[in-house]
Amino acid sequence: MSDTFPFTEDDFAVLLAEGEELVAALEAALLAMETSFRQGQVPDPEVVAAAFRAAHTLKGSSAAVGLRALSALTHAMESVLDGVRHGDGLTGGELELLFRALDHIRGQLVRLSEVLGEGGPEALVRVGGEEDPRAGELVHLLTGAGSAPGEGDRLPVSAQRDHVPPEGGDHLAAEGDRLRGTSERVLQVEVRFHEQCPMPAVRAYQVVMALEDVGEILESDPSLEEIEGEQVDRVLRVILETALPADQIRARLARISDVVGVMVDAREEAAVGRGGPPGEAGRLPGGGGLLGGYGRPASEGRGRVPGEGGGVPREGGAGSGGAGLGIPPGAGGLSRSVRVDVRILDELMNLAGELVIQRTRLGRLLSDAQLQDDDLERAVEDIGRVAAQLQEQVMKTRMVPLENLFRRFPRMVRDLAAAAGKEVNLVVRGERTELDRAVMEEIGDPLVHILRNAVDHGLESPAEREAVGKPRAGTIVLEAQHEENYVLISVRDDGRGIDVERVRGKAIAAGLVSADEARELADPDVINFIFAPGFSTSDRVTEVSGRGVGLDVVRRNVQRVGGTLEVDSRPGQGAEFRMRLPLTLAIIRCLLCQWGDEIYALPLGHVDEVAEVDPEGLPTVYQKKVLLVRGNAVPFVPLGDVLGSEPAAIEFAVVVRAAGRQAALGVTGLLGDQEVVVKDLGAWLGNVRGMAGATILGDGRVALILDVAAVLRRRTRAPAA
Amino acid sequence: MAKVLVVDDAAFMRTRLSNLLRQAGHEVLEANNGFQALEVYEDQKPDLVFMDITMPEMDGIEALKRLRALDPEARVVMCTALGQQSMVIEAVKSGAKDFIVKPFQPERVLQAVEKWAP
Repeated sequence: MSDTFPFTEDDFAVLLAEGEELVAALEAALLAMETSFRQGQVPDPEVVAAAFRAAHTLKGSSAAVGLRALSALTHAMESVLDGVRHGDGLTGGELELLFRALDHIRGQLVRLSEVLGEGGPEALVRVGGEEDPRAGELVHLLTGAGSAPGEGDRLPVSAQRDHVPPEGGDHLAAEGDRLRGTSERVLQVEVRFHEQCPMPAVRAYQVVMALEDVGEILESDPSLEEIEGEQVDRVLRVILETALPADQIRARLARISDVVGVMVDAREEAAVGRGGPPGEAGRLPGGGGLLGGYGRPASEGRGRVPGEGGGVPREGGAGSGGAGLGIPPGAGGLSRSVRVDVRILDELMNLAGELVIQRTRLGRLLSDAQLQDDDLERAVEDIGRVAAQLQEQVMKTRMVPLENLFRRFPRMVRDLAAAAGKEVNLVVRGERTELDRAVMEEIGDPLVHILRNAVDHGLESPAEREAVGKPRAGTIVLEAQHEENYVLISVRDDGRGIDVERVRGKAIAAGLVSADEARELADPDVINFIFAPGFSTSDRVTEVSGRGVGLDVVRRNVQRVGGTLEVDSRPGQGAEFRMRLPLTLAIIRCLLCQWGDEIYALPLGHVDEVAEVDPEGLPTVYQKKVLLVRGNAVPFVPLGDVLGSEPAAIEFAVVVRAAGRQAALGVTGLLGDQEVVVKDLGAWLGNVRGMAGATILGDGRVALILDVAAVLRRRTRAPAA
Repeated sequence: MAKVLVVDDAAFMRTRLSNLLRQAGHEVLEANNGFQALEVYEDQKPDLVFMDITMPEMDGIEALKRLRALDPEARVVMCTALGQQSMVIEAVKSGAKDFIVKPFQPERVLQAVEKWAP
C-alpha cells in the first residue's frame, strides 16, 4: 500500500469534517443520555443507538486511513456503548470517561486538520499513526472500567433499528405476484446499503447490473450517470420492468455485499399514494420507514437511465407529487454541494452590491435625461430586479444556521456547571436562525462569556436556590430569532439577577463614578457599569470565569459587527443579555444625513429617533446643550463638531444609542434611509476613528458610515465634572 | 476449502492476506503483478482471485479484463483503498464480483471467499 497513495487531501478534509459532525452527534447523544440518567430514567434506545453508530463510524473511518490511536479509542467507546445498547447500564464514571475521550478526539481532529493544511496527506498519515499516550490511557480506562461484555468487532447488520425489515413490502409484492402471475410487470425496487458501506457507488452499480440482467431498468434514482459520478447515498431506487418474481430479485440483490435491505413493490401499489393528500405522496403503503424520510416518489422527474429511449410510459413525471418538489435530490447534502472559498463569496457579494449601486445610478441618469423611453426604462427596471435577486442569492450563500455555533454550548454549560457545583438546564431555541458567517464568527466568544457569566454569577448554588423556593437546577435559555434585518440572541437565566447596589458600590470603588453621581443614577444606568472596562462584581474568582476579559470586551466585540448588547435584570428572578446583530456585515440599513454638502450614513440599528430642532433654543446642563427626549436629557452634539467640519445651520437631531449611551447628533438635513453596501476604508486610509466604512450612493457620491459607538465613546467620556 | 490467488505488488499486503487465508484453511497462490497472475491462473485455475488495483506494468483492471477474456467464469474480487470508487466501478463493469477495502477486515476477506468460492 505504501507505493500507492490513494488518499487525496480532499478525501482527508472530508473525513475530518465528517469526523467533527460525528463527534458533535456523539456528544449530543451522550448529553441526552446523561440527562436521562440524572432524571433516573433509562436513556432512549434511539439515542444510545445513535451514540453507538457515531462511535462506530468514527472508528471505521479512522481505521481506514490508519489513525490507529483514534480507531482504538473509538473502538473502546463503541464497546462501552454497545454494552449500554444491550442493557448493561453505565456508571457516572464511564460517562465522564466517554466525554473525556470525546474531547480528546475532537482535539485530535483539530490538530490533524492543521497538520493536513500544513503538510498535506503524508504528514497527516504520519502524525495520525504516531503514539498517542492520552488515547492509550483512555482506552485503558474505558476497557478496564467498561461493562461491555463483548470484545471484537460486531458489525450490526440486520439487527440495526433503522434497517426495518420490509415485511409490508414483501407482503404487497407477493400479493402482486399472485395477482399478475409471472408476466412482465413494473416493479419499484428499493435497495438500502449498509451505513458503513465503503463505496456505495460501486454497490449501486452492482445492483443496477444485477437488475439489468433480469429485466429493463426504466428509471433509477440516483441515475446511472450519478452513480458513475459517485453521487450515491445509502439508498438506491429503481423502476424495473421484469418477469422475475419479487423474491428472486431480492435473493439476487442480497448476494451483493453491503446490501442490507431490499424492498420490492409492484409499481401500481407504489402509485396509490400519488395524487392523494400531499403528505402521503411518495410513501409506499406498508413500506416500513424506508421512504418516509424522503417524501419524494422515486419516479419523479430526474434520473433516467441513459439509452432508455423516449417511449417508456412513466406515470410520475414532473407534474406529480407536489410534496417532494423543492426538496433537494436525495443524494445527500455532501454530494450536492461544492466548497467555495469564503473570499470568493465576499468578492461576489461586493460585485453584486456594486451592480445594485450602478443600477440605481443608471436609473437616476435615465430620469435626468428625460428620454421618455418606456422600453429603456423597463430594461433598467429589469436589470434592477435581477441585480437585487442576485444580491439576495449571494447573501444567502453566506448565511449559516446558528446551530453551528450553538452546538457546542450544551456540553460547555454542562462542564461549567459541574465545575461550579451547580445544576443547570440549558434550553436552546431558534438554532435554525441564519446569520452571516462573518457575523457568526465574531459572536462566538461573546456568547461563551455571557453563558459563563450566567452559570458562574447568575445562577445560585442548588442549596441557595432551594432556600428561596426555586428548583435546584437553574435554567438558562439561549434563544435566537429574526427581527427584520436583525437577529436577536438572548441568554436568559432564572438566577439571582444583578445586584444593583453592589454594582453601584463597585463602580464608586473603581472610580468610574463619584459617590454623589452614583446615588443619582437610575438602576438601569448603574447596571450598565458591568460593561465598563475592568469591572467585576464577583467577590470570588472562580475556576472558569476567571478574570481578565470583562464584559466590556464582549460588548465591544458585538459592536464591532454592528450589533448592540443590552442587559436586563430582575432581582431574585434572573438576568437577560440581549444581542442584536445585523443579518450580514456586507449590507446595512442606514439613515443618510447631511452636514453641509457632505452625506453621512448612520446605521439604523443605532438610531433611536429623529427630531426637528432649533439649536439656539435647547436647554443646557453643565453648560452643555441637551435635547429632551421624553423627559430624559440627552447630550446634544453637532455632527460637524464630531467631524471637525465648518459650522452649519442645524435643522434636525438624530438620537443615536450605543453601549447604553445616547447622544443627539445635530445635522443640517435628512435624506431618508437606504440599504448601503459597506466598503472597507482600510486599504487606503487605514483605520479612521469614528468611521465604520464608506458606501457609494446611487448618484455615485461617496458617503462615510459613522461608527456610532466610537463617536459616543469620545463625546460622552469627556465631561468628568 | 478454496484455492485462492492473491495478486498484489506489495509484498506486505500479499503476505498478510495470504497468511489470513491460510490460517482459515484455504490454499493460497501468489502473484506480484498482472502478467504473473495470468500465468498462475491459467496453470492452477484457482476458485477465486483477490486482485489489487494499483500495480505497476499491468494494473488490476487490465489484468481483470484479460483474466475474464481468458476465462469468462473467473471470479475476481478487487482489493482497493477508499477513494478509488470510480476504478472499482470500472472493475465491476469488467466483471469483478466484489471488492474489499484496505485496510482489510479479516472477516470481510473470509466472507468474500465464502461468498464467491463456496
